[in-house]
Amino acid sequence: MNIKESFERVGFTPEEKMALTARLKRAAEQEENMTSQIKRKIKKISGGMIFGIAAAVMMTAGALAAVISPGLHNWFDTATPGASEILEDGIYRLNRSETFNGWTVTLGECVGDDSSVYIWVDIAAPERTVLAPPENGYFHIVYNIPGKGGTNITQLPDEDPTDNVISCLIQHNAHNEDGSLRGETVTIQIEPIIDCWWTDRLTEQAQRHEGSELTAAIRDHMWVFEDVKLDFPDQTLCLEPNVEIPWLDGTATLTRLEVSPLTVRVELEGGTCADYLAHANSDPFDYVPEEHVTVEQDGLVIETGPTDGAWWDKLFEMEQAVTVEVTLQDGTLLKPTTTVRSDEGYRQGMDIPHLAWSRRYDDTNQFGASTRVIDPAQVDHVTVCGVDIPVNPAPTEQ
Amino acid sequence: MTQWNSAQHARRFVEAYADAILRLCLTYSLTREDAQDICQDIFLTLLEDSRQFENEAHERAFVLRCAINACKDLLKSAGRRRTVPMDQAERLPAPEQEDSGLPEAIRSLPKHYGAALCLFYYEGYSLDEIARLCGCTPAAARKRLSRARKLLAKKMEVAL
Repeated sequence: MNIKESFERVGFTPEEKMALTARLKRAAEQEENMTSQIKRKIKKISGGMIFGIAAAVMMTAGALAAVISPGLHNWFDTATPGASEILEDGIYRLNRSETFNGWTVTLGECVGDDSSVYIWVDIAAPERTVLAPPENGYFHIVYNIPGKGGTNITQLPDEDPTDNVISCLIQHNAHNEDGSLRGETVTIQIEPIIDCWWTDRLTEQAQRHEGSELTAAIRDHMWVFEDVKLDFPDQTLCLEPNVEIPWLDGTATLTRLEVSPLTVRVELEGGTCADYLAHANSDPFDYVPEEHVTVEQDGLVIETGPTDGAWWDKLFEMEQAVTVEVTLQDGTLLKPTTTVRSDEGYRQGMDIPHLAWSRRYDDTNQFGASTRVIDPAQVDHVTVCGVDIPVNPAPTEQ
Repeated sequence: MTQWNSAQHARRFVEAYADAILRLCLTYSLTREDAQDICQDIFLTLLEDSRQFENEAHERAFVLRCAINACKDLLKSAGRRRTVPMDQAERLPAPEQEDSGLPEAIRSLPKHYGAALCLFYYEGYSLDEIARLCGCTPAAARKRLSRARKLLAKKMEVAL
């Protein structure tokens, strides 16, 4: 992977540059002869027309959503005791649909905590349409929550490729600068859905195509769901252990431990948190690793030489040194390692370094998505850096 | 340094900044047409005040900051077309298989992540500079880069 090279490929063609230069010249010359009043009028009319067209062609139609999907129960692994019930209790049904040119997109169920949200999405083409991507192809689907970004949307295995419905799952991670989405009212946008496919995939003539007749009717349509309230319940169990844990070359204080059905969150303060923040706030290009090595991470081979890569690896290594193990009352041991949300900084008005990580339970499927749900009431204890924190210890026999 | 006060500076503007603005636009999932509109707006802004800068770096930072703000403003407008395949913006033939998914993967990142990647890896800005350009804290800029790298790694792993 070479990110810089990838950006280098992007640019206007010489012909486009010539045309753009001519356009800018014309615009500049017109600008000199145009009054402010005329400019304002032009802007106002343009905005109104865009809104009018959008309103005329789109309709909200919850009743038209002819979609039956297996839902979140079929997605998550609920094998541990109480998990199925806690998932059912945690599901909040959005039931919002938008129909455009005979296609319907539905936001179905959602479940979440303060770190992540999962939203089931069904896409239904008009009746009798076979909704399946072309050979060597896929559907290009992107979502966005304005102001909150977007994390990941996965198209789920199609149980019946001959019907007119496909399903997707949004997995949205909360960011520390944005805060939790629980109880928030948001806008969810799904960008135009387009089918894409490759020809000569494994040759030098490999070419990607997009937008066949299948998706022509919705090629330009943005699916916008406004005022979506993510009103899923709070099922998190919170503890404030305030115990010292060994971390890096010293200790830090575990001030808070949160166990939700989807993630476990640890909050640390003081001590070696300062070491972490010192590295995190340093310049990646000033960091020189002790030795030049090659590591493989997330399927990518990364050279840790005098580049910023080593700096990132060091940061990751420090984070992963905060080991977290969740032991259920039935003896099941879970080792969450994948961080879905992190916070860092200093307590306001104080010089106390503060860090927090939320990790999912890491039963991942082929899409890299987490599928394990647990019942916090079934957790016996959580072990952070070797220190056991009792959560729901089994009663001792008299 | 150029004092931007003439329509004849259009050529210099296009040569110096059009591609950079296009890259930023694509990270925000905007189109080539959007990039051309933004080029025009920024060029006119420069002319409006007959802007002159201390040096090239100062000028470039101003232009990119304007471009980022323009991208965000465009995204706020409802009902607009936002999709363009990043590979359509490439001047080269179709990429080889091993990196064919990368432009698409960058485009599919959360909007502000792609811009951070572009500014860091292509424009060569430091985290502090990115923070100033994007209007966030250095810690947020670093976090965006960190998450962008992780997401890219994951997306590429799935794509391959």
